Amino acid sequence: MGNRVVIVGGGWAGSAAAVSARKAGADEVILLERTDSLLGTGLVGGIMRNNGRFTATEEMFQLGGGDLFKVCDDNSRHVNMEFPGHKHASIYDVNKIEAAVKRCLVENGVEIWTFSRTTDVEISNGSITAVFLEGGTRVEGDVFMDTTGTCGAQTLCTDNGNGCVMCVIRCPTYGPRVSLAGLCGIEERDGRKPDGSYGAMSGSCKLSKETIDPKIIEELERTGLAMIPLPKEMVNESKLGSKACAQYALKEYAENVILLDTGHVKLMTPFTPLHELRQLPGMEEVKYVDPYAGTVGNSMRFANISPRDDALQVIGDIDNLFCGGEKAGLLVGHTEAMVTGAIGAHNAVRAMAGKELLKISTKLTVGDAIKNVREEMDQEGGMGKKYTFSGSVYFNRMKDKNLYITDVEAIKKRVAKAGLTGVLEQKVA
Amino acid sequence: MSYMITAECVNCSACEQECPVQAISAAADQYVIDPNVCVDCEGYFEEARCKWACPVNACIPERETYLARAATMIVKGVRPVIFKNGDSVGGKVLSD
Repeated sequence: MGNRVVIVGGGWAGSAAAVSARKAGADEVILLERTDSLLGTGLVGGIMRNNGRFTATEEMFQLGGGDLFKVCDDNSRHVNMEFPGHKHASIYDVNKIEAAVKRCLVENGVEIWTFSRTTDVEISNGSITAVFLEGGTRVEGDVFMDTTGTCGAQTLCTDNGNGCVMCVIRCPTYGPRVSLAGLCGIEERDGRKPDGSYGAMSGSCKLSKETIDPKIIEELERTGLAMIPLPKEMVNESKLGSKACAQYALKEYAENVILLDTGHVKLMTPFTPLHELRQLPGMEEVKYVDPYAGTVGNSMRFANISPRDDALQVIGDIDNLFCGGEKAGLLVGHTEAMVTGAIGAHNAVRAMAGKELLKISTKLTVGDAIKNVREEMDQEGGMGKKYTFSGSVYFNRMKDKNLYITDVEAIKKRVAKAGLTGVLEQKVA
Repeated sequence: MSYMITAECVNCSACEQECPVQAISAAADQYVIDPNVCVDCEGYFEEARCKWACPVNACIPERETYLARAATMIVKGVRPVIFKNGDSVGGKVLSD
């Protein structure tokens, strides 16, 4: 038997999975990415370590799965900053992060394939034996990981959102995301908006620094943050519920335009039309850089969530498929994707070696989140909520259960007490 | 894969009457094929029965539509690019 892990989807989950699989002892790791660059929605993100994500990040370092968190730390423009609803946040530079991640993966012995959209699967006796790329190339593997995410195809956005807004997912150029679990015939689920309608809209937009008043940019670059109050007639709280990231459903985000310095200017207020933004002092000439459609917002997501257990193995008739990132549930964010990607891939290697799978103790927040979110999604209305270490229902749970701590030494002890220190860097194959 | 009906549909109902698995029904503006029911006529007919019956060539394989209307870079011939240890910053194009 060989020893090759094939990971489909090169976002944060797939990238973390690739490093983790190598560290767990996989001889060969192939990461298949549809577009020309890694990270997908991570290319427009940037916010790390805010609220409970700090705890999750430090737990991952202690577990031995901190590699990509270190890349983010090393490429942070701002550290330990505060903005409404958020404490001790870091912001990575979205202009530098992709090359840094690519380098980290290659140095760890991962083989990255870009322009490689998976469109078909070969199954034999209940196991995936290979995937096929659009164009026909066959890629064999022993164990597979679905980190294809929950955005796209274009029809997802045209049917449920504001149409194709030409976002970073770039379906028209590279073709839509195809779910690997879906190709295997596994029945998947879709997330809901609070009103019960399909999916959720990502509200992440970027503005060009060159088009904003230098005084605002000076403050932004010095502190990481600029808050510009909206005139009363422009305040629209109803927009908040439609956004994917529930931790930003605070009135500060309805009453202000909140800008973060990610390299570009990240607009934290959900999709404000250009003509409204330009009514604000210092923003008279502002221009959107992402998505290209600007004004009308961003991609739809939360289609095709895989059924999975707490080891991140996909439940169904396939025995060698694992998942991470948003495929693994409504656990939203870069940190969350890296956590599930790294743990899922570690288990993929364990499965390949015939070893018992690792379910992370619920005494750690990363273990608790994986279990809790799976359980919550099965509850009535659970698919309409969003879960993240950084806010909303899951962060409240972290506080209630004393899982949210920021003392690094205490986190170290907690992981040691659970007997899990360095578990993700132990070779299991 | 399944068949689909394009907007060329003239609502004649020929496809609905011919479909061996009752995958076709009338929708608001035209007839539609339920992709979860359609079996591409495998085991029933050599050629998809809706395609055979349609007077205006509106019944076509979904895949074909997709390829025709959404030709990606890969469809246009771009090959995978591989990055691995030992390579410089850039990757190498996968050869056949």
